[in-house]
Amino acid sequence: MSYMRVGSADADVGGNFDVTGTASLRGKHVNLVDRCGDASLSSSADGINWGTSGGTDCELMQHHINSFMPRNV
Amino acid sequence: MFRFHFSYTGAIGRVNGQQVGGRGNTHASRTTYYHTTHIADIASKHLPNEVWLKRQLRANVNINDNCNAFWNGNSINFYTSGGGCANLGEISGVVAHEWGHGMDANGVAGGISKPSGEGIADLYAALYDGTSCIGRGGLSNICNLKGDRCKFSLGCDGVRDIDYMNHNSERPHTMSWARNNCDDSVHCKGHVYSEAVWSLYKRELPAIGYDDLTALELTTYLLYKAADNVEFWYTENGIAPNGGCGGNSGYKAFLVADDNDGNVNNGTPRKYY
Repeated sequence: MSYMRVGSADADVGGNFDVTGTASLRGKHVNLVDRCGDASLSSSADGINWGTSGGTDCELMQHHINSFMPRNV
Repeated sequence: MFRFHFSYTGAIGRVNGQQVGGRGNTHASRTTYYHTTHIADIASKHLPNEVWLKRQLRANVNINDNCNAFWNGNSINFYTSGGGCANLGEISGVVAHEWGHGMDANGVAGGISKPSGEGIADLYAALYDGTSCIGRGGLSNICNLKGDRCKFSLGCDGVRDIDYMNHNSERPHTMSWARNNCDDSVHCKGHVYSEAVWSLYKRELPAIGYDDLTALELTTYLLYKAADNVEFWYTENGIAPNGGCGGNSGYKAFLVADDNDGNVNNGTPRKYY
């Protein structure tokens, strides 16, 4: 993410950074406050991956039982 | 044996099926952060000396209510889903629109422009998203401007469509129309000039030879340069100088933005007027 705060510095416009530390959704232009809670992620050798999600609002991951199938094995 | 299938529908970001980043790493938080950052960066290129763009803007998402988003003078704010509306922090056009209010309020002219600041906020969103459908995906219904419905076949499920040809009437919503139909709705009054600027992009500039991408870039450039100085986009009584052509009006500001020799009376390069 562009300009995302990582540790004590901001990433560049391309989301590149050369420090280690905790990333947050704060940056040069935005201080993001989510009423669902805080967002933070530690940097790793693979970078920072906030992932993807298909749900909405504050939903936590939901487990749906799609089948309940007793079988003889 | 029991076999369970899991489907993952949570809002929190996941990597390899595992939630990461905490409860605030939601669809809305990532979307709002990304689009606010991106549009502010675009604006900064056009207006490098704009003080407001050098500040960090607070954005609040997942506020426990529905069907609204707003600029409160200091921050942009987005409600959760419900009541026929999506989570508006997850909709890029709504994010850009609310940011646009902040841009409008903090331009050189200062304060929300008159008689409606909604048109300029819609324009920032439209040119950013590249669509006249403002906040597409935000509503469960097709948009409707005081009875002049958006064409069902085009499926604009945003809050407004600022291309008059995308409404059933296929007629511009002029100052006269607004006077007779808008009552006190500032969102409605904004159509008078947002439709004009959108037509500059989609009709006027193409008519003098600009391809779509160049017309979009040029309209965006002119909008940022002009809007910064606009006090009145138009006045509702239509009387000069603010009815459309006077100082601090939207039309005059566009001419000044397009001018290259300090004299708008001898024409401007694009000759779109």
